[in-house]
Amino acid sequence: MTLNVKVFRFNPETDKVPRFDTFKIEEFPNMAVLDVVMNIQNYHDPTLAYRCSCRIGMCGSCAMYINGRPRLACRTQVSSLGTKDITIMPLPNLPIIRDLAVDMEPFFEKYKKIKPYLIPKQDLKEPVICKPDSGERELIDYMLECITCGACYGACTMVATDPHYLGPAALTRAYCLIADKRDAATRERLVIVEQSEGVWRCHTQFNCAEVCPKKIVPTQAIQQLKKRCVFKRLGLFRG
Amino acid sequence: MLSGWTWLFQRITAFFLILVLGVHFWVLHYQNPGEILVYADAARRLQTALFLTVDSLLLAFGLFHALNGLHNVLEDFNVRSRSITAVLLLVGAGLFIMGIYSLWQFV
Repeated sequence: MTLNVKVFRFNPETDKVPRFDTFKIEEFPNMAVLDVVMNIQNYHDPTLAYRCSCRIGMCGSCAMYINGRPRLACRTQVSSLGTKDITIMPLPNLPIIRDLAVDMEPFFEKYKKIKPYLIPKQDLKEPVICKPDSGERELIDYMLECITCGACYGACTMVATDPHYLGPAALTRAYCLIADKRDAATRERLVIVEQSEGVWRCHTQFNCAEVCPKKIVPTQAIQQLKKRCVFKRLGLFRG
Repeated sequence: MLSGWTWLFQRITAFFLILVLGVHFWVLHYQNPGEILVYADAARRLQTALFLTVDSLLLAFGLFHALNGLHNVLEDFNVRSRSITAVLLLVGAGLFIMGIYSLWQFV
């Protein structure tokens, strides 16, 4: 079977406008979209730029806009697309470095804003006990699966309209830390996420959840954060 | 930073708008289905404390919900400015005073 692959091409340093190049690629069993991109670079056009690393859906490097939605190229089987026509574009909402490689700097700048690391409580005399059956880490544990691939960021329409919006990935990470009872900076983080560019920009469209390769629902984290922000306003937040 | 409060009030006003609009529609269209709407009946209704309260709440909730919604849309498009907030507050206050003044004519 032959695949008709349209690939977005743009070099901001030399090109005035982007273009699409079309390639005919022979499909093989269990072929992933990343295999298609590598095949193009190896056998058709060595100048094609893209980013990848682990090839097993762990590093989050190869997120691309494949047939109209952000996906990890390494975890997207060609057969799952249900068509032999494939269009590959760079992840939306991020500056293009070249072709399919985007600059993740704005994404990680926002990620850094929420202080994405545990700041342990210093006044504890005993270790914190989180009983496995308490349910208090039920949401946190699965949300920690985030690989910061940026698919949610690329799918978010609010990031598209407001470039200052923190975005789903940063807010999900903020929730994981704010809900963690070992963390000492919960209020500090809440002050950051309750800004105008924070949780209030989310209109629960669930685009982020639709595309997350790890099946995380950032909208759920953001709603939890909104609840905590309101509780803080009402003086009911115990963090 | 008022975002937390405005987000909460947007939801509270949405809930009450559904209730108050329900009352409004029921009174106008279903209370006396055979009755022809005439000005004198509307004026008589607006002389009662219940309808004055319902209509004043409808005015306040509707204005807050609409103007805060507009403010949110502007913020969604990265339009943030104190002067826009001030203009929306002034428009809201002006329309509220105008509405209350109109209702007051029936008392």
